[in-house]
Amino acid sequence: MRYSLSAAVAALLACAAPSAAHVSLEVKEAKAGSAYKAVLRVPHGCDGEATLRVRVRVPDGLYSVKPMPKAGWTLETVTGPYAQPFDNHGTTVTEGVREIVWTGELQDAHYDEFVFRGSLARGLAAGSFLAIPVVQECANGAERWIQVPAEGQSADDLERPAPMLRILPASGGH
Amino acid sequence: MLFVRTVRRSGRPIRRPGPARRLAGLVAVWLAFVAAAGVATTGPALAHAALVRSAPVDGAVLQTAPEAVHLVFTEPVSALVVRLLAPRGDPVDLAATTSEATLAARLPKGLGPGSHTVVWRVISADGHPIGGTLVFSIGAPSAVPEAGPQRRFGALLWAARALFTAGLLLAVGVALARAVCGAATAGSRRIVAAAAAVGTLSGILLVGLSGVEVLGAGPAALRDPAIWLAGGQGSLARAVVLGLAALAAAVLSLRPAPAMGDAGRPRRHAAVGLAVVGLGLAAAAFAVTGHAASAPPSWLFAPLVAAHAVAAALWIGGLAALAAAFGPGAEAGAARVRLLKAFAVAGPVAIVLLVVSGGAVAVRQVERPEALLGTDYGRVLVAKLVMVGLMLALAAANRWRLVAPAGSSRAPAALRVTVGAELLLAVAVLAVVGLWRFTPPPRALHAAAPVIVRLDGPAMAAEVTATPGRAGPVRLAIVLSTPDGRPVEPLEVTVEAVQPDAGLGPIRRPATRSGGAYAVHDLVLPAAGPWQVTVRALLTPFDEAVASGSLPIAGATPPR
Repeated sequence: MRYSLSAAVAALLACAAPSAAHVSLEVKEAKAGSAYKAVLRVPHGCDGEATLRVRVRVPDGLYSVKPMPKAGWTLETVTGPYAQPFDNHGTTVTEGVREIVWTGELQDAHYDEFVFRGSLARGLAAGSFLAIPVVQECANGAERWIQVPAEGQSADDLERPAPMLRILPASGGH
Repeated sequence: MLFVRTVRRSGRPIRRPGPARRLAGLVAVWLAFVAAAGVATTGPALAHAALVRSAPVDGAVLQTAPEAVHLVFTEPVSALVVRLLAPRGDPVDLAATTSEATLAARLPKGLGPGSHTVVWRVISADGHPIGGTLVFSIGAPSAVPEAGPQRRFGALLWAARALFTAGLLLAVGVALARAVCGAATAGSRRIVAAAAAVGTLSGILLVGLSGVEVLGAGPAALRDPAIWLAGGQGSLARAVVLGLAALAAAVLSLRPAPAMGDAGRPRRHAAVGLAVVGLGLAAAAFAVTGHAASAPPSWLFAPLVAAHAVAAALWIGGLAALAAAFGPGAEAGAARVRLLKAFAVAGPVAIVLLVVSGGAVAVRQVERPEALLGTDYGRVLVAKLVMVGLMLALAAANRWRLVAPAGSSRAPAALRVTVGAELLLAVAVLAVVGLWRFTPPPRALHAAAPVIVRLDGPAMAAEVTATPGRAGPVRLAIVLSTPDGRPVEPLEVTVEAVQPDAGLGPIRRPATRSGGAYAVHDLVLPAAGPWQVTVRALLTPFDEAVASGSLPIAGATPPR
């Protein structure tokens, strides 16, 4: 009995601070159809090794992405076609940035943030989640923050969850 | 009148709890125990300590033998067991020291070439045991040794099991004979009390020992609550709880002492009722665990095993009651005659029930006649059958040569000898049967053959072949496909195995490509039971497909 009580308490604590050591988004929700500035927080390296590269894949539903350059880091982007064209105020956009790569060095003992902005499609369903997978590459391998919860699973069940953006209802037409 | 009896003593009515009320109390205590056990086993999975890194790293191939193994965890831990399995020789328990979140275990000097496995279990601050394995090779990898139980521990487990079985059958059997026939000897009462004491102690020890086995720790770890927590989670613990309840019912049936005459009749009814409840609970204890009761279909074999236990209890209990009634100092009387008459009826019924139920189970378990002498399980069965045959011969001698002239003066002495011999044989049978704990039946030896399971996921299915399908080193062959059967071409594949109930894992291994499939060669699954296996395939640098499911792993073969 004591075990189950302590288990319950520990489970509550675990829920209260779920992703302290994960790569995560600073702002975790945004309205469909709005502009979104993503701040990716990288709290540590891979098993004590320094991070040498941060790769972000732009998910379907996020358009016109522009990364923010970062002092000391070289910035590359990979462009490609969108799965569905994006209607940007009457102009149809069919391709854009699909992957962002920052190359540099971030010690395991240090913390840093990586920033980009983009536009969320109006058609994204309110209440849905947009996963933004991130790969953290180090000299000894990679930490892949790419896991997406299966049905009935929560991100807390995953060891390397992808950063998730919760979609809020779009504000009235404009 | 059965529920509350009023006894006049010194002119004042005194209420004493009736047997039925005491039984109700017993059932309440037992239900509370079962409920508590249920609650304790359904705690949610939570953030325990996890292994961060190890030195040497898992799977390392080293040129020189390392001096020590270091494990670094996410939080402070205390070591339960760190065991080294060398390519040759017996497992060695290593002395481990922990400081904060780091565990260090010094390795013996002069480790030879080949693959060495370190099996470790620790407890984190929240009291949850976690464990895993670490394989490192010196020079070049070799076959990984087996992680079987140790011989001395096996003897302890066997003794506890045999004593528990004997105590349980004797206590409920003698209690019933005594309640039905009113054998008014102190002897039968002492037998029930002693058998109940032995059964209780050995049953409790058995729970702890099975926890030791699940966690792969040494018997010294019995002081650790985690061991008891782990031992309390299997079917064996349910059997022990039922057995303890049966023993309690048997002991309660001793009081009030059954007396003859009208005034004693309700008491006798209560005693008989309690003894029958004890017999039923004992039968249930045998039917909830073990190879035989779990043979499919269990709706058939669990009741057969229960019937076998009832018959064995009747036979052994009857014999012990007879031995007490005809023992030195016992008086010839009406109760003794009743006992003889009852046993003359119940004995043959019990034997027929024993033979039918035992025969059916044996046929199912042995499967092929050549397995009788060709497997350890079969040889144990043959030894048991020989001894049961001798018991039957003695029983026949009793029935046709001795019971008929029971009135004669020489008969009791002869009866005493044959009954005593039968009882000794019965004890030997139970001791031999205890060996089955270590000999998987031929039916289950299929488990040594590969186990093939299909794991499913939303975007991928994996067919996993585990060879052999028992605890120890296991090779995995994995074939990946999309749910509609097209091949998957991943960048890399990893396999993860956990046994959450036993606090084992996660054990992670990369899979290597071999032909159209993927293989894991250096996996050690240190315990039997259902392992939750997850196959992760990296499809692109950003996309992972997952398939997971249960992989049933049989027990390791015992050391020879």
